[in-house]
Amino acid sequence: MRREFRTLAEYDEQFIVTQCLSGDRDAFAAVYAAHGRKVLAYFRRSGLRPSDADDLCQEVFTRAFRSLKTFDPSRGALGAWIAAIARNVARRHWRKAARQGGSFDPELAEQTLADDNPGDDAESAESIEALDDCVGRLPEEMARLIELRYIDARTTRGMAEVLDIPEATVRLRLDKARDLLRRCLEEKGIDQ
Amino acid sequence: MKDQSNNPLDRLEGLLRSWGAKRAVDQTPQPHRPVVMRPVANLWVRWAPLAAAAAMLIVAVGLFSLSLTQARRGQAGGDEFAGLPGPEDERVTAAAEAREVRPPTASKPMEVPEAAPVPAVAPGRRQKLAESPDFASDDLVEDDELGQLRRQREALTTERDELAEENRALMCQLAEADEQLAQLMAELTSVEHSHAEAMSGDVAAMREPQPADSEVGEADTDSYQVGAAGSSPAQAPAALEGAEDEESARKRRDTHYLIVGDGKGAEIPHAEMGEVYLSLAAPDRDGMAAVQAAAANRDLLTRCQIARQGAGDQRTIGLLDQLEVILTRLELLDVGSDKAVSGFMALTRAEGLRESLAEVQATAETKATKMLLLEVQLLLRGADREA
Repeated sequence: MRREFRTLAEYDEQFIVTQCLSGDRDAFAAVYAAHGRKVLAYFRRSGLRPSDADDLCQEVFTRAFRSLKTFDPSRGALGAWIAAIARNVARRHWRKAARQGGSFDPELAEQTLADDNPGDDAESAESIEALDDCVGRLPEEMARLIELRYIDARTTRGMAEVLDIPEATVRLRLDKARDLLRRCLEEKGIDQ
Repeated sequence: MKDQSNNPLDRLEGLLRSWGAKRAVDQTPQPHRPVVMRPVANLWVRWAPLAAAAAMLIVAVGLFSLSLTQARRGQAGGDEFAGLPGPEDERVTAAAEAREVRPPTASKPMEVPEAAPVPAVAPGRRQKLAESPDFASDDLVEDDELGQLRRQREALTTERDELAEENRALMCQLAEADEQLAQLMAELTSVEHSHAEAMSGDVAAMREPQPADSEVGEADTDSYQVGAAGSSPAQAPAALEGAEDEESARKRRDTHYLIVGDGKGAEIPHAEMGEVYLSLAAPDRDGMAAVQAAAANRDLLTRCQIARQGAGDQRTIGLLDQLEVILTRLELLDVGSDKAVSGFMALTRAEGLRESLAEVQATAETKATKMLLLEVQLLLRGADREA
């Protein structure tokens, strides 16, 4: 359903899209700089090899630029529109290639493309900064587990494969790491 | 398999996921830009530059044809130039005329009528002005598009003349190259003739009833018939077969005869002819080195390649290809290595090679090929004895 009024962001995006359609290369570069890494990270966190992820990322933006004239800012943000193209491209890729069963968590990968990232507001930015610090204080092997799980978006099985340890051990260490992080955040006054 | 904690997502889990997503994006390098970075814009944006370019092209073509038309008229009305005012007045008038003959609008250049009323004095005057040295520097005419087009045409004419000159030079070079090629072909033919004559002399010399050869031939025949081990080196083939019966000895002896020359049955015992050939072609060598040197001295490989180029039937071509391989191998052969020599000899004893040599030699189209194949047979026979 179309909204009656446009937001400021919509006006900005409409301007950028118009510039892109008129052949402004700087506008293309701005769109690419704003969304390129997010899309590439999504593909990498989905368990794709880096070369495949690069190829698919290029495919996403090629498709996006070719069909840019169909983008309607009143129906959603440009980032969400590009994310939808990225999901379609990934789905088509997985349909052709055998997916690496269970090593990567698609739900976490999907979060890469989330438009309303909690990190956008100041409070969440503060929480994330604190969490960053707490992860840095963890023992090395636990920090590695947290990174594998939440940055690389690996499942327990995927982490066990990388670290060459049993899945049960991974779960135990991960729970312990979460406990340590919770305590650290409490100490910093971050509400749990 | 989804991997989540059993507990519902608490704030820490949500925070960790957001943190992970943010860090993942931060750690991801900026990807390479796609090759195609131009969106498909609306039709106007896409086609406007092309349309403008096409319009400009049409205008340019129109102006060019107009200038050609004017030039043609100028040639036709050259005599009417007589009795006109002085040069200064002519320039001004010509510039004014050039403005008059401009197309009315840029979009309709071809609508300028062919028989447009042009003053009778204009063409001749314009031609004269074009030929005058200070025409190009005249401010009145400098801005005129007609003048620009004329200069472009002159530049193109100059370029065309230069290209024509270049073409003439290239044709001369080509003619010289053809001449050189003809000379080389003549030299090649004479060299082939001299080779053929030399070989004819060799064969004739070998056919002459020399005492030593006759003796050797008789000795061979005797040894085959007797079937006993001979004491002379020339009796070696029979001596090796001493234990065999007379029938097999006769067969073996038959294979030691070769039909040579014109193929009409002039049989020459050539068990030794290979040796004779080697002694003629490489008198200062012995063993496999003599075989190698004989092939080199008689230039067999080059002759084989030349014969291959001129060969007509497939069988001859196939045989000459095979010989080229053998002769190349021989040229590169390490005659001091028993292994290399035995490998080479195995190559020369390929099934059907000797028979093909004799048959193709008998039916060869050219004398040079006949001679080459004969020499190869002799060479191989010599190699058989030396290996």
